[in-house]
Amino acid sequence: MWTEPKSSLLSRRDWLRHAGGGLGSLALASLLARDGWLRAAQPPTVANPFVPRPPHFPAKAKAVIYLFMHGGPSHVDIFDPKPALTKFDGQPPPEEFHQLKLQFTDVKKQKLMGSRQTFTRCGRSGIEICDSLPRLQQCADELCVIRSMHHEVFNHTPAIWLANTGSSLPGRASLGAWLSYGLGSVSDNLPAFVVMHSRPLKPGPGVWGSGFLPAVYQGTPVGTGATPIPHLAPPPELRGGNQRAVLDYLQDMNRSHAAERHDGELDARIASYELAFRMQSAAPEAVDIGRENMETRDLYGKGFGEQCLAARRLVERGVRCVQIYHGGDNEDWDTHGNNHDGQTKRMREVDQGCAALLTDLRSRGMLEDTLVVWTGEFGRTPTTEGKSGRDHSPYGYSMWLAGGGIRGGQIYGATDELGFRAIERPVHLHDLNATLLHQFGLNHEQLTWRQEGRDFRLTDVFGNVVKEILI
Amino acid sequence: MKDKSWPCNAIDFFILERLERKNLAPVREASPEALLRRVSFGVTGLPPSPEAVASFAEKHREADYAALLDHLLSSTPYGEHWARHWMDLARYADSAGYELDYLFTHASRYRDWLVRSLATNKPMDRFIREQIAGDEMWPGNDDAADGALFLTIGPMRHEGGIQRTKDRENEWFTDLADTTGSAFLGLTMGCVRCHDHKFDPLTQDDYYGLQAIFADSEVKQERAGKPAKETDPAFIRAVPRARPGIVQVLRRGEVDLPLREAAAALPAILPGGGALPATKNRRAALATWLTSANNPLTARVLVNRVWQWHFGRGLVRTANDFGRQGEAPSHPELLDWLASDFIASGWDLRHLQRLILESATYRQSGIRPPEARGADPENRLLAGFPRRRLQAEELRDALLAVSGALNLKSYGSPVVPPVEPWALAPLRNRNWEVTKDENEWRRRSLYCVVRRSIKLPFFDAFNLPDNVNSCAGRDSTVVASQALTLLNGGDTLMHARALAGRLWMQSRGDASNAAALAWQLLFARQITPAEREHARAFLQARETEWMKSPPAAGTLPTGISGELAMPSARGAAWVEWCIALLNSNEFVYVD
Repeated sequence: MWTEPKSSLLSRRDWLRHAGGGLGSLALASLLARDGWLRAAQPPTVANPFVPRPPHFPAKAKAVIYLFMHGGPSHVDIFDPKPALTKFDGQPPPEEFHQLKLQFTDVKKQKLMGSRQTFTRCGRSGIEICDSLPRLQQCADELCVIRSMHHEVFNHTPAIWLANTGSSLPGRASLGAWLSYGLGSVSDNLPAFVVMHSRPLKPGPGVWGSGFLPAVYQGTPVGTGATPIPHLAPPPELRGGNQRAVLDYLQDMNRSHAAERHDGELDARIASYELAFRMQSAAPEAVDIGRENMETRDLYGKGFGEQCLAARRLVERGVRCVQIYHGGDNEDWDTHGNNHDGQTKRMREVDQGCAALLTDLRSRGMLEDTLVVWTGEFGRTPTTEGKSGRDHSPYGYSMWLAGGGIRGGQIYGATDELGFRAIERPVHLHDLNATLLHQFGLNHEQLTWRQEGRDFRLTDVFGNVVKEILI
Repeated sequence: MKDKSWPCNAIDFFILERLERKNLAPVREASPEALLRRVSFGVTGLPPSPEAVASFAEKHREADYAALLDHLLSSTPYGEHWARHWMDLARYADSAGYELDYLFTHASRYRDWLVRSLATNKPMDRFIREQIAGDEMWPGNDDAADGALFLTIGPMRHEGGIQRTKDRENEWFTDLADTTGSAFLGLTMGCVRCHDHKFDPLTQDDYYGLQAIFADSEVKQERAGKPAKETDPAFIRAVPRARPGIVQVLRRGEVDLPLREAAAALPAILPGGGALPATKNRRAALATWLTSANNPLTARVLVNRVWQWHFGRGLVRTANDFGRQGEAPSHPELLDWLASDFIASGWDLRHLQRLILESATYRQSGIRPPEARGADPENRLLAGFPRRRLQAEELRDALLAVSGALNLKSYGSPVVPPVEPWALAPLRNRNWEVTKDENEWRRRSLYCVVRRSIKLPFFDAFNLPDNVNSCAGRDSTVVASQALTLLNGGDTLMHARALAGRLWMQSRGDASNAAALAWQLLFARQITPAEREHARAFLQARETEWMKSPPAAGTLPTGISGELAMPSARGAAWVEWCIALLNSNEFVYVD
């Protein structure tokens, strides 16, 4: 339990005055000052918001498959082995870490907890990967493992917002939306940004939303299983009809309705019907993994693997950003109790899919320009929570990148010898997002949206491209 | 204030002051037709009837508007629409969730209580009290007891044998403390389960003190089956227990890590908060405090929600979080004023509704000039009414209403409509017993069964929220999958066939009259000559095409009687036309 001395709690009067609803009257002046408004000119709306647009400079990546491990994978158990943690297992943590703020635990009251996983140095590069990921170990030379990820948000919902949109509060645009806005779409028949998830996410669908960007750029969720996208064909009774003629009539109505309203959402709905129409011909084939041969299907396996295979098919057909969320709700990587078994279970669920994706993309010559990202919203503590759990820890954790102009077979950055904090070449989430945009030929400082007198970016006012990891 | 002529009531002065500070001006008043459509959906969740459109638009006067509001605000459809809003807050479902997901037979009693209470304008302080402690405060009163079913419609595990009693109990107390905190106080109490709040001065003692209030009650469950099985439907209510249970402050919220015994208490930071005096009826004490004069939070949270349900967003946009992590109000003084006026009115919801609906702010056009769009892109300051998409239930109800199929029967057991087999795949406890009477399938959406293990696919596509926790506001996404659902779904074809048949019969087979009628039904306005010509040309072209390949019977309008027979090629063309109309933005959005 984390507590602060009572004296540092806000005074009651202060809270009553300031708490969101403002129980007392708030001065209008201060709100206006904070808003600091300026008249902003909106960029013109283009007739086709998905017209392909040139990047700022030549791109290394055409597409990204972003594997998001919902709940927080434990870095010291997966990619960042810590012999010192094992050595001091059961000891109190050093004083220098006592002030780290965590969601559920007070560091100083916990014990260090060594990992029960074993690790192997893999491939030519000798990257250490936990033995619960045997297939991914075979792909070690493709991976750039960043061990020095960090940020400051220690609970799920805001951290997932931060990872996706660069802000821990709702309302900003997601990476996939920024890519669509910046580059348009190369596929006429499929969405530029597709999302797969098998459980509800803690923050909800807003994390693949478009925020203040035009609503057309939000992600399109696609299910898995026998009917990944329902209603992909007109009902049989109408197949003798002419849906295009119906749509032309509908869109004429919609365009004259939208003409004086100047509402991005109405424009987005018009565009969504055109996309829906074209998806009817393209999507059944694109998401049908039954069209793959048995060898390929066996390579990927079931569950998460099937989603990875569908992602590869979508990217092959011009989808720019596919995000797969693994886990959600309370079935995820959030191992507050029994960390070892929980993490092992999740690793087994994703191992085959991750490895198959890298192997398959490589053998098809797609990995060079397809970026694969594997990360959670944060890592987990080197210390205990309860007897055998680990708490959330955003101050130093691991993730990996592969393909898309990233140099494989490298480890970048490091945490301290116990795994609390990123200390060597730290990479903030904003740096990661700047780097991802950079691989698409986009300068994160120039990819902006002007609103209320301010230019908003995915990276807020932060972010440095991590040049050292690039080819 | 420059424009002294604009305000209709107090609300408008607050809105105008902010607008003028930003050099913005209110937008002109909406057309009578647009206003009628807006107020119909806003109050009842249903489109206005063509008769109402004709008479209201013709002689629109202030007195007519007041009479219209009186009529709508005392109707059962008003109770139904606003009950559905409240059901989001109350994490409403007709089943238990978890592995068994057995049915609740008591949940629909609570839903009916919501409809009844809102339609009869029960004072909102009483409305809140009954939900927390109806059984304790009004013993023997069946209506009040139904309100208290609020306490037992959350997720319930009750897996016989597997789970320990104290875990179950803890889950129930957790659900109640979290839901009560969010729904009534607008506080994220859930955080405090595991640690003192990081952003608000709420402590674990506050949280477990709130849990302990509920510990003088326990869950009583009656199964329908004989002998009863754990998958049978259950009626669950909270009943007093002989000796209050002991609630422990838990480390990290874990049942096996008790720290100390919790004393029943109201959040200490709030006026009137602190330890609960020894009392037999703890829930009654909570209910009384929630709605007492010296606790201003409940009323503020409530008026903010009502505002949100009309304008799409609250004055505080984080309607379930009035704490420090929540957002500051856009118009703090207005929120203050609305809350105190509401309390002064005796917690009269109809009074508050009328105040909002009569304001010039509400009556503005939804068409915003470029300077307002530029300076205030999110329309926080309300220069112009914020356009909104119909929410899932409104859209389905509107489809039924305009096609003439809507069954306006109110109250009763949940309706189980037929659904596509793929949608039932994740269903736990596979008792999807479709309601036999087909007329029931055409009832308003709030009467459709709400299962925790699956969502009805149409509602899912249009952002029906999760029903595990209190939901303060819905997402409104725009994605291609919605277009596919509405364009290709079997339901749309059914509605289009019925609508085409209705238009054919009512226009006596005259396409021009049918188009005029369709515009009144769907868009609540007069058709323009250009639109009439556009429709005529479309119908003619499509009919010519269908004559080359005669359509199957399943493509033709329904409800056509003998004396007005319709050539089949024309029938198919009219059905296609109706599909287009039902998919149009003007139908799906409210200006």
